[in-house]
Amino acid sequence: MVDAGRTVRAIDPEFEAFYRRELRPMIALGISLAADREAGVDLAQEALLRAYRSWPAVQTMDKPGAWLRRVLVNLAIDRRRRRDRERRALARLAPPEAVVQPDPVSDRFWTLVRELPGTQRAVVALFYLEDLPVDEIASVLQISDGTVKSALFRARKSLAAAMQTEEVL
Amino acid sequence: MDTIDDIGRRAAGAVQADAAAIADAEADALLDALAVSPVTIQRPPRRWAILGAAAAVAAAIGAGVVVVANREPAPDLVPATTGPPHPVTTPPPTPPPTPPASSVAPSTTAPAATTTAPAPSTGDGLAVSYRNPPPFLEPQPLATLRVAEGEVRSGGLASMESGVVVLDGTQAHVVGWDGAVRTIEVDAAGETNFLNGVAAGPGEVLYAIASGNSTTNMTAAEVWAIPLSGEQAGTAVAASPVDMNVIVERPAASFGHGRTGLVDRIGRIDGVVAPYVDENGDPWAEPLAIPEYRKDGDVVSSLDGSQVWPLEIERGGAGNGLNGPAAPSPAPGGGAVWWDWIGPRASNGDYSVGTMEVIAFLAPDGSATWRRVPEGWAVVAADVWGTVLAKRTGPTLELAVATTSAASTPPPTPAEQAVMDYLTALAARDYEAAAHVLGNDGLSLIDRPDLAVIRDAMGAEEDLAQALREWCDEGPYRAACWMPASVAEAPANGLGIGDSTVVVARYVGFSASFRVNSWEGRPSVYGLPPLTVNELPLVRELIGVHALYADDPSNRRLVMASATGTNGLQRPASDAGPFSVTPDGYAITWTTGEPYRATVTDTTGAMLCSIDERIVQLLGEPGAYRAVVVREGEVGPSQEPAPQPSVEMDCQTGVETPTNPWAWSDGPTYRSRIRVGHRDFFVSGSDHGDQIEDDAGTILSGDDTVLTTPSFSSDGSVVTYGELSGSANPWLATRVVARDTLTGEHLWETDVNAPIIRTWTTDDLIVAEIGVTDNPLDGMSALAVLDATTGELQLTVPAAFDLVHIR
Repeated sequence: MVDAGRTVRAIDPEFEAFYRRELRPMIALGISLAADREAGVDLAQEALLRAYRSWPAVQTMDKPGAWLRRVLVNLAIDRRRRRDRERRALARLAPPEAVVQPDPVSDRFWTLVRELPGTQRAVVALFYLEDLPVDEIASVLQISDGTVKSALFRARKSLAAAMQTEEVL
Repeated sequence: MDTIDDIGRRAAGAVQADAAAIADAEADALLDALAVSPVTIQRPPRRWAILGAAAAVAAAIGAGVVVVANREPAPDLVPATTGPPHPVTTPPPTPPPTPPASSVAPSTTAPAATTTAPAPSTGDGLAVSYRNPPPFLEPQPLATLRVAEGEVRSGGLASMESGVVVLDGTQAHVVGWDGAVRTIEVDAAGETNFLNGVAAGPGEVLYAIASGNSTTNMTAAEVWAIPLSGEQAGTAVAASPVDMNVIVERPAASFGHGRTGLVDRIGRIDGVVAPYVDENGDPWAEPLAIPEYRKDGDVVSSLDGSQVWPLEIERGGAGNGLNGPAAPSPAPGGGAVWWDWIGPRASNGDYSVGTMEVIAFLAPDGSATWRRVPEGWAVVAADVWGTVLAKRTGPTLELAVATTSAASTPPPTPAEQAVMDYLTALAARDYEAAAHVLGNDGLSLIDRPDLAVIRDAMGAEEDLAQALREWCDEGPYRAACWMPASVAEAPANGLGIGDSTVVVARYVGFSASFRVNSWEGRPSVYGLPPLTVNELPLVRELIGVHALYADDPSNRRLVMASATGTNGLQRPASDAGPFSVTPDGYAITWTTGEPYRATVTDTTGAMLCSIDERIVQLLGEPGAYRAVVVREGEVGPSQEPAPQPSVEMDCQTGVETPTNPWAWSDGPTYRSRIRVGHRDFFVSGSDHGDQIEDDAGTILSGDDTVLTTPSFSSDGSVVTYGELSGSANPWLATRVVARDTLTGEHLWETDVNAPIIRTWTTDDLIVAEIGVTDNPLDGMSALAVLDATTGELQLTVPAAFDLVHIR
């Protein structure tokens, strides 16, 4: 008889290195796109889990980091759709500990970013957080350079108007 | 003063610091959660609960078998919370002969059951009719398994003293009557295949029919005795040869227990099929005293003739189960059970099976209690230790015990259940199960336009599950893969199409309709769950447009969703025609009549103007709208379409000004003007297709055959439309084409491989409405979102509503 036992699978060292390299930026990207900090962390977790599950394929990609970011952005859009359900679930959890005191201006900035349309939201997050050039943002999101430029232009314009500051074009 | 870039980079720094703190604190916990597999998943800290759950599912699928427990990380193979109602630990003695007690009691002879009139169901009597079916039984949950292969009926299940044995490939799962599960690896001895027809007991011994990989004797098979406990657990300790021809394609529970060995309940094999052995392969010492039953027509009786149940059955058809009629089996507490299919046949095919499975609990006193088996469930094992039901959804196998306990509420209809199974599987991200329910006939790309939304992800027919996965979960597709609140069958005169059944699934906040039919007796679902008008804000957000307007005819209103919120504009009259909206989204026009009366309001419903005409196009701006009105004129005798008298009417004052023609007509041909900004365009053509010209007469659509209303960008520089040439159907556009309106230059074209109802053009996006069928009047099944610059398909959103305006 075979006893269904407990086994621990060894993590591929290359995945672990990838994971440790990408965890911080993924959490940051998740927080910037999600409705709140906790949900942002969850997004990062889920994106990394998918990378883990698909690691044999992911590790052969030219830009696994770009793939990971695209997964997270897609998850963020999907998550946003289910935000009401998420809110109910998260409301049952204890409030997260504050690690960093929120900066009101930064907080307001990301709140406004989260209200932008999906493409603009992702473009802004990748532009400011990841400091990616237009062509790399286009590669991550699998859209054209023109769409990135257009989205960035419109997003900055909207954000500047909402923040009542100057836009940089 | 800070620029928005300054603020953005400072905000990025704050988030990065926050992320670094979280990552430093919890990186190892996440990695630990990833590393635990396969069957036993350690519950990670709560913060990682979502990840843990997903990891558990992923690992469990890889491991083959787990118990599904509300999508939580599976701690181990666990029982259902509700145990069986009648755990039986020892075989009961043969019940003593019971004399007939009433007019419905058994007689000592076996009269043929004859019915000449509809026989009403008498609840606990001997009669049953498909016209008045008995109550559904309430399955008593036992456990839920994930099984790697095999079917419910042919995978091999057996009832024994300690529980139920599920033979799943080369694994035997033993589900105790308390719901506890243990798994035994069976030594398959190389290429051995296990077939159906297993039985178990006495003792902890499984009798499984095995066939070798012989190329010389194709009918060779053996009944293996496989202990389920003890030192030789999982290894065959005895084998008895049988002829495969007489053991294949059998109904469930077709082998039973004689005094010294297994017997064939349906009578194809005389005598003992395989002698009983103990865990060591030694002959079983004590003869069993388990009653045996037989069936002659619809009369069930014990072999010794002491008990007879002359059942009276009115059937709607001649269908049986997939593998023929069942044999009566002994039941706990004495008496027997027998089941049959009394409803109409599933189809007119040669191999059509019956519907409406019912089971008779035949009591020792000669009475009977009929119950209907709920849709999706089937009797899979029956013996003196218990009657077992199973329900399979993809790799999930639910087990339950059948008793006379009736369901308090009627279970869903087959159509409702099929939709529920499908949506539940999607919501649980169980794509294999969802694809299974979607139906094998659902893979025809020609017959299933509703699959257009996942067609790009479906490279081959067998990729349906993966396509669903991408559609709901991973890829650039978006779907309403949510748990429905309930399903209900639509009114018969409602949405019926052909002979299929329409089911409306009600979600929290919206509903979706499905067609359900059957394939080889199994229900399948036609129609992926679309978003409805109630989810318009979500659709707007998914697409990423400024505003989306849609007609909501059931509530008689226009729904408008924008970044600032959602509002509705109620229709003022019962016969209001379709809405039209000015490009800026500000003015809304609708017409009632006849006599015609056009009303123009703003988005709050405040009246802007009203005229007693039909408005072709509203020009101008708030406070100075001019309505273009075309009046009927004579159809000229010339070959050219005759211009129709047209006026521009001041919407506020009603003052008319004659204007250049806006429409021309000559029977089957026509021509009309469209004004975009300061430019005029003309669409001319016939039922066979249109072409687009500018005001200089230059054809802008090249050699294309335009089949949809052209859509222009806000400045008129780009036009898009659905074009014929990508389609084999002369009335169907499946290709979106974009052209520069100054030069007519072909900018791009994209095949969406689905019927296009019309396109909408914004500065960033082209949105194509995808039809449910080739006929636009059948409505929309999805929105395909294309990049305005490249035409690249960015997103598909399953949606079903009457789109009025996008900007």
